[in-house]
Amino acid sequence: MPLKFGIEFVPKEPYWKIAAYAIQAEKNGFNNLWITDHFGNRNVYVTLAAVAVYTNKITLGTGVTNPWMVNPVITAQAIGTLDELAPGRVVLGIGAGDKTTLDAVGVEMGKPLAAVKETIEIFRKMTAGESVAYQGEVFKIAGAKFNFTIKRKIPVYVGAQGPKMLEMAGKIGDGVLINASHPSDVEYAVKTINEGIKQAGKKPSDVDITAYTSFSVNEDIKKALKAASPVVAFIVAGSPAAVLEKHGINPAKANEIGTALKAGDFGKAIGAVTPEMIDAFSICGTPDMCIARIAELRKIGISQFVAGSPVGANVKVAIDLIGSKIIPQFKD
Amino acid sequence: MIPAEKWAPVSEQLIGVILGAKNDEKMPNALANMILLHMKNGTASSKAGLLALLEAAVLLDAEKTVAALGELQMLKLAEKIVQQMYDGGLTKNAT
Repeated sequence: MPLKFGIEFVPKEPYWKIAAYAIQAEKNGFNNLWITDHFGNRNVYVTLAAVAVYTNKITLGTGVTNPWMVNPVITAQAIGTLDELAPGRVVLGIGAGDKTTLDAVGVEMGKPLAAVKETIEIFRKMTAGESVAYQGEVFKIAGAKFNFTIKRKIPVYVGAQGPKMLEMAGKIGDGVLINASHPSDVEYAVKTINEGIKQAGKKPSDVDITAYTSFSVNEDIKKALKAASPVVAFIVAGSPAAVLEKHGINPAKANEIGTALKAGDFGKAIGAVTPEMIDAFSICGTPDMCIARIAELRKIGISQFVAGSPVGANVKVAIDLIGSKIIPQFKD
Repeated sequence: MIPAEKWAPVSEQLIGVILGAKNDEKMPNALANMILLHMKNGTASSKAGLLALLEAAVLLDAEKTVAALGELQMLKLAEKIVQQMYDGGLTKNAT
């Protein structure tokens, strides 16, 4: 079975740049395209709609949305409408959301596992055309039904990092987006997902297990590292001490980076990123280096690899490199 | 002005200039949509596609456009762009 390749775009760029990259990614053999959802950037569904118009084959999804910012009924409505625009090539990507982001807009994040599970249940019922009356721990819906028909069962991918979410993702997801780049983290995630798959009585092939990585490729390793460092700085600053220590990173160093980021001193923060941090939280380097790391992940059991932000120092060049040098290595 | 054998590489270079440009707000959305349609349909290296790309590239980053054309030995076109930069934009004669 060939490894599927996905790519992530952040709509801090205008729709036309993302659509242009999407066209290029499609022509380079990518299977999936994921758009991040953050209130500070452009809207995920409008961006996906623009991409849908200018592409033909690539599968489109939210990478990832959350249960809190938009009611699950509206999430189902948006994805269902998108499936009219790009029939058969839309998926929902949903995760627990980011506390810092939700705090910023005054949305309380409670019971993340229940919220994700209930959102998926409501999404599936609504997109199946049911009249939904739902009494959950988090969501209560008195009676909702669409006035339009969604023609197929739309796959749901669950964004997950912690053990409980990973296991639940294996149980109820059609796919799982593992938020990790290092083989040891992905190995742990795959084992946990497989537990969930087993508990649900499903086959491993029923779930598209996806490594959703921070990725940076360039023929010049210095350029690849330079592009990866800012993203890794944010990941390090947001990682719990246990995760940092697991990778041999001193939490005090992470605190320094976090403090510099909060103070707006990006130069200092990026300058404090070490090679160990890059290795732990990204896949970064020349095409051959990236191929070696992706091959490790494939051996562990992933079925899709996502090249997430930053993708490369020059995104256009990186897409061409992935298409010409990396994807062909994983065709069989 | 651009020999047919150079249409494809010029098109690729201009797309690179446009995507690398920092002043996104200068891109008119009708022109952006036209370029996207050419890219989708595989006509970005046609005469019409190149004209749209040239217009956008000059608008977003004239210096890099001239440099990119220079790299492809398209010096006459680069000179023409420099000439036209300040007086009314490009015409179909450019391609």
